[in-house]
Formats: sequence, structure tokens, C-alpha cells
Amino acid sequence: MTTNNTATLARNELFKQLKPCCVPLSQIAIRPPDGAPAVRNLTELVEDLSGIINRQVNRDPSAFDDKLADYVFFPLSHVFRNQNYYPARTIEVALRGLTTLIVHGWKSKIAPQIVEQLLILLTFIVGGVPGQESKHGVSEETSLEALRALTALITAAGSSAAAAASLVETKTIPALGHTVTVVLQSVVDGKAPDVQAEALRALQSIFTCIKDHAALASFLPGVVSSLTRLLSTPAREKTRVLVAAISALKVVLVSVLSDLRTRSISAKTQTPEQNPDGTDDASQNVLSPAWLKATVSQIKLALATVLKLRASKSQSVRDALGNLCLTLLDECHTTLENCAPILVESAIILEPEDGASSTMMATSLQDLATIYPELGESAKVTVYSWITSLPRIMQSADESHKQTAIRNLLKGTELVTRLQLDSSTLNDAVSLALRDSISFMVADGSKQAISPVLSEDDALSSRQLASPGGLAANYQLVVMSQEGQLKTRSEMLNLIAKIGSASQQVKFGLEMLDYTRELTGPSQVASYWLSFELVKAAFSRSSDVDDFLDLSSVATTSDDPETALQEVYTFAVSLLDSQDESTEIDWRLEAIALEVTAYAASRSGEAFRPELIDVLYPVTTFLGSPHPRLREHAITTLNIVAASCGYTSVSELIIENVDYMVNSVSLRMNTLDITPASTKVLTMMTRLTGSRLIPYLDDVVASIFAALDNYHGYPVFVESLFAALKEIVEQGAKSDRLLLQGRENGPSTHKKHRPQPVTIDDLVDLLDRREERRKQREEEDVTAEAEAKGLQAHPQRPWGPGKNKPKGTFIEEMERTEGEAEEETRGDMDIEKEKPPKTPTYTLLEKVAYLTQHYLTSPAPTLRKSLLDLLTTVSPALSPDEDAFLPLINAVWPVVVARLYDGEPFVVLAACDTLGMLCRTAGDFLASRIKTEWWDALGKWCREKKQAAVQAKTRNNRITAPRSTAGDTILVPSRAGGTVAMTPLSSSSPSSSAVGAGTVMNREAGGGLGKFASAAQIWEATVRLLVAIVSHVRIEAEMFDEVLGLLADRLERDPEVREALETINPDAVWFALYELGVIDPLPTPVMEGVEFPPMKKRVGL
Amino acid sequence: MAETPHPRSILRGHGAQVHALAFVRNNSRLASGDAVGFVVLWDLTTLRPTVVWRPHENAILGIQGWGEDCIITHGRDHKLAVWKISSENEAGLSRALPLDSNAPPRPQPWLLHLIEVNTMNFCTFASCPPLESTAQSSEPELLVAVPNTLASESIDIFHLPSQTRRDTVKSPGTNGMVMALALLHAYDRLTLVAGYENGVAAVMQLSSDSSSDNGIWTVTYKAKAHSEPILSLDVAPDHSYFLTSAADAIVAKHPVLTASAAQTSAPASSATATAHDYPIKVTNTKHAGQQGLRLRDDGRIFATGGWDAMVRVYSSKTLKEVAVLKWHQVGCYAVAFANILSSSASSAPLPGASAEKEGPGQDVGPRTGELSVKDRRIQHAKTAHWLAAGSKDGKISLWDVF
Repeated sequence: MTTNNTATLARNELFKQLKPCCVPLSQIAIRPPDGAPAVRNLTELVEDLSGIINRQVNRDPSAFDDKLADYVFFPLSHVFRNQNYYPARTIEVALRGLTTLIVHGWKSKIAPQIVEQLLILLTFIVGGVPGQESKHGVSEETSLEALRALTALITAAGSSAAAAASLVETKTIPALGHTVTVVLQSVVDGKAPDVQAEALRALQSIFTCIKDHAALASFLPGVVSSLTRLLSTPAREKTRVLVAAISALKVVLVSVLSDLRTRSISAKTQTPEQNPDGTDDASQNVLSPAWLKATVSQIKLALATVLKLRASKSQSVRDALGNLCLTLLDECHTTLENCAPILVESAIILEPEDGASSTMMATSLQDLATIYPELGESAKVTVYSWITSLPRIMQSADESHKQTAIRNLLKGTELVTRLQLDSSTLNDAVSLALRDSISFMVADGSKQAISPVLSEDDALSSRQLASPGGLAANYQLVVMSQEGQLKTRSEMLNLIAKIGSASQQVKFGLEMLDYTRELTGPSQVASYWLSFELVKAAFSRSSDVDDFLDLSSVATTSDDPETALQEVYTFAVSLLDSQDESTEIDWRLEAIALEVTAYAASRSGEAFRPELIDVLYPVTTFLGSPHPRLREHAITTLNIVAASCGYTSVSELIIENVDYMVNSVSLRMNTLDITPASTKVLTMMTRLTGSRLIPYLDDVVASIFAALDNYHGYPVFVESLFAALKEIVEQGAKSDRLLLQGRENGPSTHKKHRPQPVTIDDLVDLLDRREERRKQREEEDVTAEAEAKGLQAHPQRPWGPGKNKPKGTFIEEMERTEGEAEEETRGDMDIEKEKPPKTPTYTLLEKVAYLTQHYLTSPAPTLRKSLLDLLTTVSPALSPDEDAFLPLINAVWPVVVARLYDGEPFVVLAACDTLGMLCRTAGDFLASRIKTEWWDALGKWCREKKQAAVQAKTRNNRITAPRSTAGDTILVPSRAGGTVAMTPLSSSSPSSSAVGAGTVMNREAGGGLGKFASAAQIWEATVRLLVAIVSHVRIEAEMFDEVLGLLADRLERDPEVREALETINPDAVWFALYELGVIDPLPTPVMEGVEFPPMKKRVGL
Repeated sequence: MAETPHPRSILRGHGAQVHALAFVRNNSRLASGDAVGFVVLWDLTTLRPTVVWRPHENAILGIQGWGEDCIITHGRDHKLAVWKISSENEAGLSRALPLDSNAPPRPQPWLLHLIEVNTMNFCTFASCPPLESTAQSSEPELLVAVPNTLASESIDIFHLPSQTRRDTVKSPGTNGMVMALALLHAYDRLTLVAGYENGVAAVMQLSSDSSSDNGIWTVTYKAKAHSEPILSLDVAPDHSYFLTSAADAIVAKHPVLTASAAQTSAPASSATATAHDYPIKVTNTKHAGQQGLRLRDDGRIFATGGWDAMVRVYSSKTLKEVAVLKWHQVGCYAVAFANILSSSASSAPLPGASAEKEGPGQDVGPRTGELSVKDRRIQHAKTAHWLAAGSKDGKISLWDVF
């Protein structure tokens, strides 16, 4: 009662508030308005009224009832009647008030009459009065408010049976029809999205609230076509509007065509003869089976248009559309049977990505399909057709299209799996489609140019491999690597990862592997990639499960991913292994094989180590691949394998397993299966492992020799072979201990020493010794006489020191000779005991060195140079064992000397250095050879080179040093010429000094190539050679003089040259310097009775 | 095989000629001995040495496995040694190959027995377990035949572990030095097969009254199929025949006859001309100098190492050449076959000891699938039909053939 009382109280209170507002309002409104003040007054009143109502409603809507509504409506109705006289704003406020009245006042108690009235009124407000042109356009706000009121009205009417019935009475039907038309107009042509949305809401309310099937059915065509029109041009509309339109469409279709509604019609369809005339009533006329049939076919067309929106980017639109599909499938299952396929398809597409939100939805497609098996079938068909069309889509250029297709397919297959509708046909189709699709993508990818260029040597440099940190552990993409394809790729991977169960993936993977074995070209790549990805996916799947369940006893062999991986890996190994045999293999296939290897390694961990027997070498060989991407792949693979097998770095991996690599290299080389890459790998291995490896390489070297025999016509290849040999030699030369074990028998150095100058002390010594000896002899004589016997034994050893030995005191000398004698006898014993055999390393290096003589005449200059370098490296290593080394020198000497006259300057440079090294290591052994060579050609050649260098400089210096001309350069002397020693010296000295000056000037000027010119470089090298000859090899005096002549101009500034020459003959050097005028005249000695001519400083012209 | 076979792997590491090879310990290891006395045990899974030591100061003449973890080595330093190396104590031994000249000194494994024997000739020892155990101890016993210490045409038979000489068998006639030996039990009698310097191959059997220590040795077969010294011989696994190779190009197949058959026709050792003095088959291979003849344990093929660097595989039935394995550049001295019969039997219970509990038939499939990469490799290494050949260059080639 109290509540009742309070309600009454509130009503009264409200009434009291309303009354002062309504009374003046009705007074003003009842008359046609006159003048602006009245209108303003009215507007204010309407606003007040509206405000009061709103406040009340916000505070306590229960205080408002239909009576009060009637009361308030009275003035408002007048306002509406004269609406044309009032500004739009007034009407709006009034409409807002009216809406409130409807919603909170009348509510379900609204009188049918009022409904009819308001319906017509609001329709007119929105759409204008039919028959008469609207004088002014209705403002947006007005239409909005009117539509809002309309929505409220119809909703209210719907809740009251009487009102609802009245709406569909024969006389009101046209009005309602008009309303629908107007609303639709607002929907389609609405000026603002708000208006459209409100109109759609109104439309929705019409279809929700009006229960009369026939009426709704008659509105249906127009409504559907308008909505379709709206939805067919989604670009023009706001998302909000689209969503609203879709949900409106859903409501419309459900309210007219839901199975519940059409059941009666369908029943009739089944028994059409029961009621042949079919004219029982109007509704029967409309709702005939024929109508249904026609409608449904039209709806299908409309839906086809509308469902194009499923490609929309807006999530809300797609959600709404999905909702529409599901609702239609659910509610209109029978009626819209013909639309089922398209609806199912859309529903699959529009299914939310993650499973979480699908549980939120009341019904999912899965539930529906469970209820209606035919939907499942339809889904299956849809998926199948998607699968078969996937390859075609993959051929298209539009990446987003592809991605969508893949995504859809994934959803479809997931649905099918969830519904347990998998069939072998479907599975086969899936695997085939995947393969073909990827084949297209792969084929597509192969067309692109390969852009990155990585220098070949980069990959092979041990530096890069040796760095333990910052290793690249990720592969560049091989399949679908283009920028634009990345998303497609990830979608594809997603599809692969989720397709089927783990065991199914394994099965697919194995199937793909079978294809791989059969196919060629892109499809082979594709299927191999697929099988790898599938197996990977299966692993990631099963690892989740295996954490909880031990299914190993249940699992059969065929679907164990481990087995599949094994197969995939085996194929990879066979691929990698055969790399040299056929160059036809697609590089991507090999790249995938590398990835597979790395994956297998990462799965097996340290247990993978024995696999390195087969794998390590082929993988390493890819470092020398001509394809840059493969090289990168190989590096990455090595990194991964090294990490997986527990090595700290790739170099450690290689060093630890170098025996396997040697084995592989040897086996390949033995069959003359040698590629430039393999020699590179050999080089790298040797460099990394060092001399430790050399003893194991003998058969490899033998194979290289065989290869050299077979391929000596291919300079580049021969060069690569020698590069490997050179590396072996370099490493071997470093290991002194391995090289020589008790076989050192040569002198440690061949460096010439200046004889000790004879000093006064020496003279004193000599005299003392003589005196001593005399005394001794006298003593001996005395003793002999004393003993009266001459039975003195003959001396045990030769008198005096040896010829070449530096002189010491006699006693020292004696001691030394004794020591030497002992050494000698010991040495003799050694020889008897038989020298230890040469170490393997030594033998190997010796063999290589011997081999060079045959290739030093090769047409490839770089090879010639590298061979000379090789000899330079190897000689110091081999020289300690003279018995073996000197024959080698004998063998290589002629060819090496011939290289001095080579056409290529850099070969000449190398030859000079090599000869210098030979002089250093072989010493006097070369004396006769040098002598012969010098008088045959070498001397002449040296002079030519000097001249060339001078000329080059003078050419450079013509401006800065104009006085030195080509005319007064060296005169070439002949040996026949009498003054051999002096002639070249005197004749060349002027120009030499000019050269010296020129050099200085040239350096200062900094122009031209200067000392980097080839002529200058060769001359420098020649000087080095000459110095080496002079300081290590015994040469005859004439030759020394020539050398001195050649080098005279360098004496002054090159201490090395000077020292070398002075060691042999300091006086000659002094004289040469004097000739050059660089020696200050000695002070003229003063001696009584003798007059010395003063020494003049000689001016070097 | 249509294409030329290639070795699966080359084992490098010996600095000198490889003289002896043997697969030991269930095919998991290959033992190789070289001319300076080094022995290397190679792990056939990783193809790396597991143990390297120097049992003898001079060339190794022969190596044999004895049981699971004993290895008998026979060196030219007049010693025959039995070493105990089990897989557990392998780790404590050196694995630095003989080629590593600067390796630290290699420890010796546990020496079980050492017999001073004659090694004037190049004849390697032969062994077989005795038919009936004489010692009471549970220790495994072995009879070892080597050429006699003084007269190198006679043969001594030693007994292990007692290290005592059991017998000395005299040569049937003057045949020169003993070059090759085999010891076996044929028809329940201790049988000795010997090849001599003059090309004679003979079979001698201990008379049936083997209860006495000095039984009578009867020559049951004697034939001269070769014109040059016999280099090697091997007896068929079923003991029905034996094969000899010599410095000449001939390979001969001889019968191992029952003593009774020989006795009936020719009593006592004086027998010289009987129906059994001819080999079953003689083939001139046209390749002189084949040694290290070995029959595979299934008796179907045998192989020889040739001085011409070829390893030849023959069918033991027809003595026809079925394969020539060419890898080495220099002569081959030793050949060994992995045991393929015992290995397949022994590897079956490898995956799990509980094989009997579950049904073996249905269990085999998944189990092989479950094997890890490493297990699979080990199994392959044990079951592969390995043929190892050791050569003068110190390398051993491993072939997976037939």
C-alpha cells in the first residue's frame, strides 16, 4: 500500500510540475502561432516540459503512467499538428518528449488510436506528407528524433496486443506500409549514419513487434532489396550502419522466413491438393508455397550479395555477418536450405580465429552441424572445393587473397576435423593442394633474381668460422622468401602446423617425401619443404602431449614423427652427399636439406655426433657453393650443428671432427670427384687444424697429384688444387718438431761473415806463437837428443786451423779440432746406425715441392706466383736436412730461374724472392749455378731491370728533373770488354746519382706511381735478390764487381745492401762510394821527407 | 654391384704397415696391428680409435679377440700376450694414434698372460677352445697353436690360462717353415691345419685317445697345391674344408677329412699317397701374392689382400672372383670380415632387456622406430657386413659389401 501511496504521491508531484508547463503550452499551441515571440515561448515551454519528463524519468520512471502521458501528449499533439510553423528545434524537442512518453508513459498500455495517429504523424515528419512536395528538407536531427520516436512507438505497440493488431488492420496497413517505405528511404538515403542506424533500428522494431506474418511477408521484398542495396556498397557506409543493417536483415529474415513461421507453408507444400482454391484469406494468398519458393530464391541472390561483406576488414561487420549466417542456418534451416552452402561457407570464414570467443556465442557452426548433419556435409563440400581451388589461388598475384584463402582453409579443415568428418579423399586433396600451391609459390620465387652477393672467400675464411660469439642461428627463408610473401608464408605455416593431428601430419609428411623422391623441379622443392614443415609441426604437437602422456606404447611406427624425421633426414643426407654429382639440383632443395640437418642435430643433441661422419663434410662444402644463399645456409647450419653437438664454435666442430672430413675428402678425391669447393674446404680444414693434420693427408695429397695429372689443362682448377697444397705446406712448415727428427745435417745458416781484420794483437800473438813453437821444437829436440831416440809419433792431426774457420788462439784451435773430431766420429756412428726415416710431414712437403717444377711453366700467372710462394715457404722448412733438400734445389732451380724472365711483373717479384730464399737456404751449393746464370743472362737482366726502373722514374720526373735524360744512362758492358769492373761503375755512376736525386725528388713531388710502379718494384726485388746472393752464396770477384756496380747507388742509403757487400769486400765498397763522391777526403798524412798528394773529393758529376 | 664399390671409410693412424686385423667384441671394435707393434682398437660407430697401445716391440703377426674383453696379440718380438680391455676401462687408456709422434707415452692395458713363442717366421698363431675343460676353474680356456720355438716346421700347442705347452706336432715330411695355421675341432677331434713354406697344406688330427696327454697326431690330409709358400689359410665355419692362398696366384680348397676316413686308407703318419691327397678345387687367380685370406662366418665368401693393392672377394663355393675392391695404392696385407651371423643374433636383445616379457613379434617394429639416431648407428655398425682391409700404407679401408 505504501508503495502505491508513494507512487500516487510521486504522480501528484509530477502532475504539479507538469501542469504549469502544459497549460500555457496548450494555450499557445492550440492556436496557430503568431509571431516569433510566441514561437520562442512555445519552444521554451516544450523544452521545459521535456526536461521535467526526462528528469522524472531519470529519477523515478514509475511515477509516470499513461494518464499523465495522455495529459502531456495533448499540448504536444497541437505542436505536431502545426509543426510546419515551428522551427525544427521545437519539433525535435517535442519529439524527444514524445519518445519519452511512449517509452515511459504509455508503455504497453498505448492506445491503438494513438498508435495509428502517431505512426502517420511520425511517418510524415520523416518522409513528408505523401502527395505534396515537402517544402523544406527535414533536418537530420528531426528525422533522427522522429525515427527514434517511431522505434519507441512500434516497440511499445508491439508489447500491446491490441495496438499491434491495430497496426495490421486493413485500414492501417497502407499507413504501415508507408512507414516502412519511409524508413527504408531513410536507411538508404539517410543523411547521416545516425539517421540510418536509427532507421534500421526502427525497421528492426517493426519486424520484431509486428507479428502478422502476411504483412511482414509483403514488406519483405522491399526491405530486403533496400538492405541489400545498402550492403552491396559497403565502401560508402559507416561500419556502424553496416552492422546495424546486417542485424536488421537478420531480424527481418528470421521474422519472416524462420522455420517456425514457414512450417505451415511447408506443410502445405507437402499437400498442395488439400486446398486447391487457396483463397481462404488474404494471408493465405501471400503465404503460398509458390511465394515461398520465389522469395527464397530472391533471398539467395540477396544473401550472395550481402555475404560478400565477409571479406570486410572490420571485425564488427564480420562478427555481425557471422551471426547472421549462424542465425539463418539455425532459424531458417529448412526454409533457406538452398542458401545453406553459401551460409556455411561464410560461417566458416567468419568463424572467430581463436576458440575462446566461439564459446561465448550461443551457437557455433559446429553445434549446428552436429544438429543438422547436412550442414556438416555442406561444410565438407565447401572445404573440399577450397582445397581444390587453393593451388589456383596461389597462382594469383594478390597476396592478401592467398592469405585469406589459406586462413579459410585452415578454419574449414579445423571444423571438419572437429566434426570428425575427415575422409581420405579430403586428406589426399589437402596434401596435393598444399604441394601444388607451394610448388607455384616456389616456381614463382625462382623467377626472382638473386640479389645478395657475398664474396666466396668470406664464407670460407676461417676467421668467420672461428668466431664463437654472435653466430647466426637463423636461416634466411628459402621458400616464399619475398617480402610480399612473408605473410602468406606465415599463414601457410600456420595452416601446416594446425592441419590434422600429429599422426596425420606425419603421414602427410611421409607422403610428401615420396613425392619428393619422384618429382623434379619446383614441386620437388615444395614437397620436400612441406614434408619437413609437417614433421616439424608434428613434433611441436606431440611434444605438448608427450609431456603428460606416454603414448609410445600406443603409437604405431608409421605415425611416429621420429621415424618421419629420420626419413626426411636420410633423404637430406643423400641430397647433400650427392651435391657434386649433379649440378642440376635446385639450390633450394639443398638449402632445405641443410635446414633438415640442422633440425635433426638440434633434436638429437650430442647423440648427433656420429652423424657428422656423413654430414659434416658435405655441409662444409656448401661454404664454397657458388650460390650465396646456400653459403649462408651452410654457415647457419654449421653454427646450429656445432651448438647442438656441444661444441663451442664451428672451428672446434671442424677441428674435433677433422678425421671425418679427411675421410670424406679422401674418398671423394680418390674417385677424382673434386670440386673447387672441396679443395677450398680442404684448405680451410688444414688452416684450422694446423700441422697436426698433415701426417694424415698423404693419400689426399696423392689424390691431388692424380687430379693434377688429369686436369693439368685447367689452370683455374689446378690453381685451386695448389692452393690446398700450399696451405698444407704452410702448416707443415710451421711444425718444426714434426718435420725433422734427428735428420738435421746441414749448417744452420749460410750467412757469410766478414773475416776478422788482422790487428796488432794478432800479430803479436802470431809472433808469440812462433816463438813458442820455436822453443817447443828446441825442447823437443833436446828431449829427443836426451832420449837419444827419434821415435816421436807422427802428429795425430793436421797442423793449423782449417781453411774456412775463423782464427782463434792455437790452443782454442786445438781444442776445437778435437771436439770436431769427436763430433765427426759420432756423426759417422750416426750414419752407421742409419738415419731415422723422414717424417711423414717432411715427405709430404718434399713431394709437393718436387711437384712444383712441373707446374711452374703453367700458363696461369697466378698459379706460377703461388707456386713460387710455395717454394719460398717450403725451403726453410726442408733445408735443415741437406741430403734431401739439395737434390730438390737441383730439381727446381732451372724452372725457378726461368721465372725471372717471366712476362708478368708480379711473377718476377715472386721469383726474385724465391731465388733469394733458395740462396739463403742452400748457400754455396748454388755458387756454380748462380755463376753460370749470371754470365748467361742474369747479369744482363739485372742491368735491364735497373735501367727500366730508372727510365720509369725519369719519365715521371721529366719536368722536375730535366737534366737527366735517357741518353746518359747505363752503358751495357760486355764481358769481353777489358775493364769489366770499372767500366759499368764509372759509366753508370752519373746516371745513378741522378736516379738517386730523381728518386728523392720524385718522392717529394709525390707524383706518378713512384716506388709502386712495376719497374721500380722489380728493381727493388732484384736488389733484394742480389743482396741475398751476395750474403749467402760464394761468388767470384768479377761477379761481385758487377753486383757492386749495380748496387753502388744504393750503398749510401741502404745499410742492408752496404753491409752485405762490405762483408765480402769492404775496400771495393769504399772505392765505389769514393767514386760516387760521397766519401770525404781523408786528411793527407804528413810525414817528414815524404809528400803525399792530397786526396781530392770526387764530385759525382 | 653395377658401379665400382667405394670404401665406407678409411681408418688412418698407423704409421707402418697394417699386418693384422680382427673384429672383436661383437663387431663393435676393429683391432688392427701394425709393423712396429702398435695395436689400435677402432670404434666402428664413431670410426675413431678407442685404445692405442704398443703390445710388442716388433711387428704384430696376429690379433684375435677372446671372449668379450680379452685380446690376444702375437708379435715378432717372440711374445704372445693376452690383454684384458673391457669397454669400461677403455677410457683410461691412450687414444693417440701411432701417427701422433709427439703423443705422451701410452699406458698398457692389463696383461693377463704372456707366452714366449717363436716368431722367426711370419706365421701367426691359431686358437680354439678345448673340447673338454681340464681345469677345474671357471676361467675360459683356450688352446693356442704357434710354430715351435726351436724347429720352426713343428708346431707347439699351448694351453691357456695355464700357459703350459700341451703338444708339439711334427711336420709331415720336410716342408720348410710353417707359414699358416688353424686349430679346430673337427669330428670331435683336435685338428690342426698347417700351410708350409714349400706350398704343402696338411691336416693333422689328434688320435681319439685324447685322454692321454701325448696323443698321437695323424696326418689325415696332405697336398701340395702351391708352388710357392703358403701365405694364409682359413677353415670354413662348418669345418668341412679349408682354403689356402700363397705367394703364387693359386687359391686352393682342401677337404678337412675325418681321421677315420684317413686312417682306414692309410694308417699312421707315414701315409703319403692316398685318395685324399688332392685338393677339392684349385683356381689360378692370375694374381700372385694374395695373403690374409679370410672366410666370412657364413662361409659364403672369402677375401684376400693382394700385393697388387687389390682386395679380392671370392665365392667360396666356386672360388670365382665376385668383387675387386680397389682403394689402396700399395699392397694389402690383412683382411677381416665382421661376424654377420653372431652379430644379428646378438643385436636382437639390444634395444631392451625386457624383450621376453612382451611379445617379441609385435614389439620389434615400434622399437626400431624408437631408436635414437645414435642407437641406430651403433646397431648399423654392429650388423653391417664389414670387410676391413689393412695395407702397407698404414691405412685400413672399411667396406660394406655383400
